[in-house]
Amino acid sequence: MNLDETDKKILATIQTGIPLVSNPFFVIGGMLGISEEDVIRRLKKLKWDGALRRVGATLNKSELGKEGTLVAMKVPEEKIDSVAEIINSYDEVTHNYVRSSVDGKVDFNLWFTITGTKERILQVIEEIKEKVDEDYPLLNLPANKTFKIGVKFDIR
Amino acid sequence: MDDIEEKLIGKLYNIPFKKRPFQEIAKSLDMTEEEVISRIEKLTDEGKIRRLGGLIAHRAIGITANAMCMWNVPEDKVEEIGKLMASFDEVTHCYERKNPWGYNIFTMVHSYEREECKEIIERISKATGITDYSIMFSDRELKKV
Repeated sequence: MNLDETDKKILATIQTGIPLVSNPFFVIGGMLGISEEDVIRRLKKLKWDGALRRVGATLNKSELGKEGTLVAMKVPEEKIDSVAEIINSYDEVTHNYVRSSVDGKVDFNLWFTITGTKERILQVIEEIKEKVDEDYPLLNLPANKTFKIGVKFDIR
Repeated sequence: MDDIEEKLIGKLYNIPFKKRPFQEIAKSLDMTEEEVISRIEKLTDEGKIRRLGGLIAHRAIGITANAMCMWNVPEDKVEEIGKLMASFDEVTHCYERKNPWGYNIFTMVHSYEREECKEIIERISKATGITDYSIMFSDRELKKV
């Protein structure tokens, strides 16, 4: 993807938040020394090109009665895709990765997150186990404490 | 959360790229721009909205290395070390989690290359004095909402 220096500055600024004023893109333009029109035009292009997922609100799930958990599973390599299909069919599953350990200490290879009420999370896990219908080891690893959720990237 | 707040939150998922984005949202909800802004302020103060901003598609812009690092931290130091790890800019997520492997803090580190992730993790290790850790890189992204 071709990002110029101004695109990068826009992404770096907008990921920290947008000002809560009637004309936020004018304010951002002022911070970066470009026009409001240019900010808007570039944001549209960044979104269209796929560099920007969206600009908007991120909710605090615990305030909305929801929780999140991380689930680890140990699945034979050749079964990953079919198991992932079952897991990913749930809207409550927000991330799913194949992971491998650098030092080999942990051999669980499928790692996914579920968001929902406590009851719903447990229900989704049970349903996944039933549908997969194999005794692949599965661990539910809810967070006891959250120290940080703040996705800000070093944009180069 | 009342009805209006729920509708407003629905509209705030994608803020329109217009000169007066909150006015656009206000029109669609039959509210005033001032009312929309003050309700967003309230929702933010109450902690229901964590932030209002841009979400970067980090993989698309080259930040493709994603390390989950699990740390074995002495129980009485979890609070202090968790906060310290969270203070690193490169750490995007930091949680305390129980698990059979004995690691108790999980951090996510994103960067352009795996080697860079490892360097960042070494810096965290030096700063915190925690040397028992294990890294898992993501080989494939199967889902991300």
